Amino acid sequence: METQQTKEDKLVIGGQVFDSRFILGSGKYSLDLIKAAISHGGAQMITLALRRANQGGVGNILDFIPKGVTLLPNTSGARNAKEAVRIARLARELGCGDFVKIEVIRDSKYLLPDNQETIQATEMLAKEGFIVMPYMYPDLNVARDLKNAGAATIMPLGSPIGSNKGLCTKEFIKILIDEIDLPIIVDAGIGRPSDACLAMEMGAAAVMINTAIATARDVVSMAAAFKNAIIAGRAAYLAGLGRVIDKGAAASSPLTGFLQEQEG
Amino acid sequence: MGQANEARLETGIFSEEIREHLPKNRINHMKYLPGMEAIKSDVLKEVIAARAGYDYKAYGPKEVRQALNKDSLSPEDFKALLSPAALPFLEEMAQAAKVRTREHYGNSIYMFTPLYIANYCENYCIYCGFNCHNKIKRAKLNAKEIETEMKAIAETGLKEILLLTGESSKMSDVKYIGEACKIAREYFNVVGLEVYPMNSEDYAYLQKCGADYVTVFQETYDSDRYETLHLAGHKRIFPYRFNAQERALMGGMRGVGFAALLGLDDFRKDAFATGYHAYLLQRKYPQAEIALSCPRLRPIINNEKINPMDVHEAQLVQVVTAYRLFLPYANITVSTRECAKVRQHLVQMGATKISAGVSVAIGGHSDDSEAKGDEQFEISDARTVKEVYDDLVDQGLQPVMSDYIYL
Ligand code: SF4
Repeated sequence: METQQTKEDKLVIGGQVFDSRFILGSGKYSLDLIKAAISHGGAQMITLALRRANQGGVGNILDFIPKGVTLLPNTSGARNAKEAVRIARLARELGCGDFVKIEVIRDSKYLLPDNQETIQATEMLAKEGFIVMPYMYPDLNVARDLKNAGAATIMPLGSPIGSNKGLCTKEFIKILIDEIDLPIIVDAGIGRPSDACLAMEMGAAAVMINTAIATARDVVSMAAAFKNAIIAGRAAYLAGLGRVIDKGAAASSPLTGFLQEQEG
Repeated sequence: MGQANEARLETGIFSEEIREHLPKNRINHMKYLPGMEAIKSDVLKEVIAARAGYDYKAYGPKEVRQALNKDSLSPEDFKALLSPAALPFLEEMAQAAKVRTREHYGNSIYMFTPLYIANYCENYCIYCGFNCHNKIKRAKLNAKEIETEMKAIAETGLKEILLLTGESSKMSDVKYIGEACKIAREYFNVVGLEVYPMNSEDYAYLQKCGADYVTVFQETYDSDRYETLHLAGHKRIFPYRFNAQERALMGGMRGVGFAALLGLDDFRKDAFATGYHAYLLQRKYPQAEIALSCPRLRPIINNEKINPMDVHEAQLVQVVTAYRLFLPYANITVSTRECAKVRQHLVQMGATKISAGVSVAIGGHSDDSEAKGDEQFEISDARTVKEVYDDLVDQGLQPVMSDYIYL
């Protein structure tokens, strides 16, 4: 279903070009999930929780990741900026590349990100040449600070991690999309393909999905469903939603046109 | 000791030998001993009051259904799910718990193994084979032996270890435990401790040595009952033990584990107190990771009156699923005290952590080291690490060896 428009439409993060706007998150993983996300979901970027990387041990997630897929190590487990920086450096040492998704969480119940510490970590890591993708609670001021700190994208949460509740923060994500000149990637909370489609229609640059596919009865089919939803949402965004939907009532032909006619 | 307690002693789990010890002068179990750090905390008062006020007969199907329909459960809902009225709802509880577990943990099941580095104990817990009156083979591994054991464990692919000593601060002092942590850090990503309660500065020291998780079993949250079961030693001091998790968090530990030994006293009240204790501490220390274990009494050396029959499998399922629904974010561990069958069912409905390749004797993991000390209890699931791993995969679950980077 590629149209002329979508063909040229690429996602660029930190200079790297991606055809796919589906990023696989890391919360839940299994070999089957990773395979399905790549071959049926078209994912080209896969998040890796470094704390799960079991170097040299059995069940090492690194062994599951095929070549040609970009690894996005995250700093999950970090409770402050300093710890996030250390995990990012470790990831680099392990050969995971320069991409890093910052997650700083000091709440074990809701797993909500700490925006303040995230800004600090972003600044430090951007200076060290990382391509920094911070996970954040959608707050416009914080997003601006993150951009100034050198973030490559902004990753606002749709709803709490793992909750599958959809885009609870929709209005605030929309503000980020309107105001911040960076790719806005919706992370966490996307529970169904329709949520992903909605995020893409709104103008999100990509979506990160994990639990929704990991916990589906049929992982492969669900990965494919998400792929199609993301493509459809993106196409709708590029096509320009009718203004009635996007901004409320707006007439299709001008009501005051007669004034010009009179003058002319 | 009140009259009610005297009456309780007539029934239950006291052998002849223990009866002889009972009447002797016992120290006040609510008073701190010299050297024990007293912290400012209301958690104990709150838990004890809530436990005392928990009348599980007051809950009916209506309250159970209400609890099952909620996204976020209150302590009242938790009480309903632990009540006898919830027993007919076990299947629904299990289904709901499964959904909740998958939301938070996906299909992941964490694997670890306990390593007993010593079994000296100064306490007299009448239900435990390690207690100071039991003439068992005592031993303590030296640094070289610890390393040999750890090497052997690491070769199985495990990345998380739980270090246990008996509770003797003389034979296994903080420094000794610290050395064991340093060695463990070389081989493992996660180092947990299940040792005697200590002061926050000791926890801080052990955290620097590489430990990041502290588990302390309160055994029972009824302080009167507790007093009759823990006749001597530091463990007798109920509040010092109760506040151990909080001191561990103050010392910088990442996570803490809780448990009541189900069957020692009224298991519904103890399960409630365990969950509520964890709940309150997480509210007070939001960054803290929380883990719960659900041990049932097991037979031990020299006390044939102890058996786990009071808490049947249905009750165990009720406790595990109620824990899960009340604390969706907590890790729930099932130990090798349970048989393979029970464990395989529990990981489908709420448990997220499972031990494997367990030896509860002192030494005994490596081929060339023969067990030096006796075992604390009988294990029921003797599967190796590989067997547990493969069984989890067959069940559609994802075994996870490591979930932490020590920083
Ligand atoms: S339960 Fe623990 S403290 Fe009590 S006797 Fe056994 S090893 Fe010692």
